[in-house]
Amino acid sequence: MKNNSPLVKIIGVGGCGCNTVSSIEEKYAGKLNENFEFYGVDTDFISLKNQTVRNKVEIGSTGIGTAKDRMLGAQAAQESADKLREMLKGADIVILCAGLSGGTGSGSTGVIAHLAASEGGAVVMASVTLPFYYDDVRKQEAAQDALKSIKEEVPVVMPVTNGEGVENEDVPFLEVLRATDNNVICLIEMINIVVNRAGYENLDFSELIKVASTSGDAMIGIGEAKGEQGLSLAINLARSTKSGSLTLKDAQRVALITLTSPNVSFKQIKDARLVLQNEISRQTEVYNGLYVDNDQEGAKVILFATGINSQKEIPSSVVEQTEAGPMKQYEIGFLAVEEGRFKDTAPTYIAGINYDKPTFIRKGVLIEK
Amino acid sequence: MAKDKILSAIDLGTQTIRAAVGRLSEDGTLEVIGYGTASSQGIVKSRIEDQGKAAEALKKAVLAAENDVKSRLEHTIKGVIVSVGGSGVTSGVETITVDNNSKNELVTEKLLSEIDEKFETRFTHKDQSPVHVYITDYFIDGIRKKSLDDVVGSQGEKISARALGILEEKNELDKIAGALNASGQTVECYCFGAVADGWSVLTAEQRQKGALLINAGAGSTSFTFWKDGIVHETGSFSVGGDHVTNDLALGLGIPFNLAEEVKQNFIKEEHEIRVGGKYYKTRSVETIIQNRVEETVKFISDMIKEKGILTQIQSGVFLTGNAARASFINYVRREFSSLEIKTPCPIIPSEPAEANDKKEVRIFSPHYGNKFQTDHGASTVLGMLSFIAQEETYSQKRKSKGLFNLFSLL
Repeated sequence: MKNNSPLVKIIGVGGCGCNTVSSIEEKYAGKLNENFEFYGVDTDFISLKNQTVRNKVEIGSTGIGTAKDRMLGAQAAQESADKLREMLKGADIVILCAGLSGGTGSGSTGVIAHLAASEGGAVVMASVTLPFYYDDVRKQEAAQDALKSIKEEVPVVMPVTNGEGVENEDVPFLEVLRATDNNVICLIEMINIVVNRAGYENLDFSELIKVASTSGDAMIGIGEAKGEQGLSLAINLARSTKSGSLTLKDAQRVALITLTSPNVSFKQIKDARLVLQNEISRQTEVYNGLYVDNDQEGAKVILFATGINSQKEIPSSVVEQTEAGPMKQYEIGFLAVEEGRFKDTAPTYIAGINYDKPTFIRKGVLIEK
Repeated sequence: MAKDKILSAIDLGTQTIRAAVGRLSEDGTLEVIGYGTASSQGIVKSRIEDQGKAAEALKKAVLAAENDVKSRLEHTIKGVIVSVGGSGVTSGVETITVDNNSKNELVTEKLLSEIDEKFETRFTHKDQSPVHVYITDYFIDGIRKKSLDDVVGSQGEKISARALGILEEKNELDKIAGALNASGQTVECYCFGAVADGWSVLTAEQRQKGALLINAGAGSTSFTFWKDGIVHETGSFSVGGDHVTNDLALGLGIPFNLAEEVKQNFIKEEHEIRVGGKYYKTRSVETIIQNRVEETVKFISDMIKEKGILTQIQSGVFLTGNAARASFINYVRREFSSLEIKTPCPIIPSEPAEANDKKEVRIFSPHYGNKFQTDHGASTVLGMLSFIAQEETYSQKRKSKGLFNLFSLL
């Protein structure tokens, strides 16, 4: 804790992760209090030097990167464990972001998560970026391997596939890359509101941790809208955030954080809550946080749903020849899963790969229509 | 007059539910006297997703089979053997050792029954039940015995057995039983689909010498490796023909039912694929299908290689269901280039084979002509009839109660 508030450390690992934290730190410059700290961790000295993130931690001994070798990334983090412990010191929440196309993010993220959670006792979440679907198979497979190993260490993983779900392909490429920052932004927004604002309906930090610790799949979304129906519309926007095949109906717990102007009416609150009630099951526990801001135009809603499909175990794999246990970690469902006919069935996971997703998409094969 | 027994089987396919009725005579002949099918409902990836819908489809298949039986016999189907499949089916190997009183003590049937019971307990887990248990090896005081005949009556202090257990999730068994009950039926016994196939498309000699059987259904793909007359290895995963269709639907941006038509047209090797008044690029269709099929075959191939049984497949690779289609066969040929690839249909002669001392049920049917000789999809339901008939006729001494079917090295 820092100043009696939870200390949140947002850490970019590797080139891609550092790009994300640099960009987000810049976006939030002067808008967050000192309980939010941003760090960049990399094995490539020059790349790290060129990042704008304030706190930089170089790991490993060569300073020249890992040549996309995940093992070298892990080794570098282990070599620099003391530096990393120092960086993680005092953190209550650690948000890790990394790309899984190279070596540093793929190899170091799990090591850092281990140090943060097992040694430091922090709540750890990770947003990881998978290669573009048209990238080569080797790259895809390496990323999946890395994701699997990170999941062994990180309790909450949010995988995002680069470029997936882009509807307008004429959009600038850099914008597509930036779209993957949204996971982290949503988490920061949510934590910032819960931790730093007094609510009319208060959702305290321990409740947020309770929601965030519910095993199963999870989804997070943010919506903002103005007008008479703004609040209802904002909830609709938040719940329609791309989340693969996940639905709110299957969630065990939902945190609904609402930030509105002071003149919000009872009717607006009631209508908005009914929108949510219609989307969830009777068993879903809802944790409401209602916060008012004089400067807020319209309504902002963050919806964080967890424990989705927690009853559905990963089907036993013939590869493992053993009874498969329930999923150990949960994923926040930003990964668009093209499951089509199978979207409402238990996914066919074998060795960490969802075989319901078309093979040509997983392999990045382009199909001429 | 010898008393006949009527046996009924239901194959819960993802695309088609098949019901078959057989008349088992005391002399070990099994006559197929009824066969009916219905389009599946409520079954996805070889698993029951909607019990109510599945029950409705089951009723239709049973009614069709009963109508077919009527011309030969007045019979209402009650009590059936049912297939299981998909990702919930797993397998594992366990070893059990029991103590005989002394080194000079003879090994008795009772002692072997004790081993059977221990296997039943060992393979019964919190969430899974054994569907089949195959005892693959016996050891007396550490020395492997070639056959069961070498075990009973031998002397030894420690008797060990190694067995392959094929398990299904209890939850799924409950769902199947629920759907059957809702359709007015009761489950007498469960059978893994790929095991059933081995009883309809493989000869006793092929099962003895070493055969790899691959069945690709609409909802799942599975394999069994047979040797010495029993199953030694098996695998099942919920990826099947529907995945190919789903890939096409998503790749071409069309509804699932249209994608199924596109797939069927491609399978028929039509040069131009025209469905619903629209042409689809053959190259795109081919690319989507090939990627999925290649991956599926490679997956099986990797498992077979990993298990180290490639050199034991003396009789060849046998493909049933969708696996018997050209697009699948080509990849199987590539992956198993050193082995003979066959696409057999159920072996149902019009007359029973002559009796011999092989203790094997002789299935036949004078009623269907060549019908089954081209029906790859019928192999599971007919195989289940043979399987249960074999149990009833020759395996009673070694059979445990309920859904547990135990086979030993013969």
